[in-house]
Amino acid sequence: MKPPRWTYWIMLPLTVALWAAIAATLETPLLPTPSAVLDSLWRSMQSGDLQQHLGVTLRRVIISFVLAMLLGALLGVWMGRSALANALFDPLLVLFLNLPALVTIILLYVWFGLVEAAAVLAVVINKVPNVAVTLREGARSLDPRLEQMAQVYAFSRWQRLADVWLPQLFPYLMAATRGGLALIWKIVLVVELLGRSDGIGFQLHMAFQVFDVASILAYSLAFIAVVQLIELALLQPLERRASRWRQAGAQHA
Amino acid sequence: MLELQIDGRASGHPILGAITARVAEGDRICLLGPSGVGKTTLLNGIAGLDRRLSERMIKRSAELRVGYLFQEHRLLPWRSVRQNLAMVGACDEEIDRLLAQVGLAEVAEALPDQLSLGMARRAALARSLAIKPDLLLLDEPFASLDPDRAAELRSLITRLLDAHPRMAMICVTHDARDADQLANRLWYLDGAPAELQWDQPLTAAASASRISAALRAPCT
Repeated sequence: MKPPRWTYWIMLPLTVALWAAIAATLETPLLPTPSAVLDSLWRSMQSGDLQQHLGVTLRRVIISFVLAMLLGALLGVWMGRSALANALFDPLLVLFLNLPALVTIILLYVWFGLVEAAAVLAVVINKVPNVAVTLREGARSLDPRLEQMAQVYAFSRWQRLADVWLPQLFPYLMAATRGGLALIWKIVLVVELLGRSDGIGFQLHMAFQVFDVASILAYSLAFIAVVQLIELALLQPLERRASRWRQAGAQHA
Repeated sequence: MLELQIDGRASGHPILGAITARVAEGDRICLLGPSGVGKTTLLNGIAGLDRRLSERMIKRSAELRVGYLFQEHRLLPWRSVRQNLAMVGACDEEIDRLLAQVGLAEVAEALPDQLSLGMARRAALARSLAIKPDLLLLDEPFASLDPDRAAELRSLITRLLDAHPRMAMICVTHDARDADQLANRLWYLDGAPAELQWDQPLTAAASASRISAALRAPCT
C-alpha cells in the first residue's frame, strides 16, 4: 500500500525544528540557527558568490558524471558479455574499487599539477568502477531468449542496442546514475578543497579556516537542493516513462 | 531449400546424433518425438542458433528467410505489437494486413504483456510472417492453449500455409493429431543421441497418429 503524501513531510521539518531548538539553547556560533544559515545563504546569493561557485562545481560534476557513466557503462557491459574481458579487467576493477578517493586525487595532483583536467580525471577514476560493476550485473542478466530472437530476425546492431539491450539495462543505469550523482558531487568537493581555487569545495575550505559554520551549512544545503531538483525534474519523470511497460502485465492479470 | 547433414557424434554435440534430411518448397513437416528428446534443439539448429552445428551440417540455400515462432512469444515487452512488427522490417500497411489476418487488428497498439497467451502467440506468428519467410519454424504452437484456442490457431496456420503454398513449415508438436491436420510429411525424432526414426510423407492411409503410436510402442 502507498503511504499518504504527507508522510514525506514529517522527518525533515522535525529535524529542522530539533536543530533550531538545540541552536537556540546553546547560543554558540559553532551551531548557527536555521535562520542564520538562511541569512548567510541569502547574502552569498546577493553577492553572486553562491551562483558562481555553484555553477563551477555543477559543471565539474556534470562533466565527470557524463564521462564516468559512459566509460563505466561501456566497460561494464563489455565485461558482462565477454568472459575474457571479465577475466582481464576484474582484478583491476577490484583494485580501483578499493582505492581510496583521496589517494587518487592526491596522486593525480602530484603527477599533473593542480589543474582542471587532473581534478576531473580523479573524479572519473573514482566513479568508473562503481558504474562498471552495476552495469556488469545488468549485462549478465540480459535475456538470452531475446538475444536468440534478435539473431533470428536479423536485428541491426543499433536495434539490438537501443531496442533490446537499453530497456533491459535501464534499471541498472538508473541505479548507477542515482548513486553516481551523490558520490560524484562529494568527491568533487574534496577535489576542489585540495587543489582548486573556485567551486563549493574551495568555499567550504575558506569557511573552515574562519570556523564560519553558517556558510558551510548554507553551501551544502544549496547543493543538496540542486541534486534534489535534478532527481525530481529529470530522473523521476524519465524513470516513470521508461518503466510504464512493466505495469502492463500486472494490469492485465 | 534446406539440407541437413548433421553428424552430432563427430562434432561432439550432446543431444543430436546423425540426422540427414532435405526440406523442399511446400513441405509441411511436423516433428514429433518424446519430450526432452531434442526437438527444440534441432529447430534452433535449423534457425542457425546453435553454434555447435556448422554451416556444412545445415545447408541453407542462399538468402533463405526463416521465420521462427518460439514457444514463448519473445516479443519485446516494452514495444507495442505494431512496433514489434515494424522492428523486423514490415511497413505500416503490411502490419495492418498481417494483424488482420491473425485477428489482432484491434490490439495493434497494445503491449505484448497486455495480451492473453493465445493473442500474444498470434502476434508473434504475425511477426514471423512479416519477414515473408521461405521456411516457417513453429515450436509447440499449441502448448498451454485451451482446446478451442488451439483449434482456432491450427485452422489459422492451415489457412496461412494454403495462402503461401511455396512456404515450407517445420512444426514441433507432441500431439500426432496436430500433424494429421497440418502436415504432409512426418519426422519422428527419438533416441540418445537423437536421430530421425521416421521421415515419410503423410498419406490418408498412413496417418501420423498411427505412425507415432507404432513408433512409440517398443518403448512402452
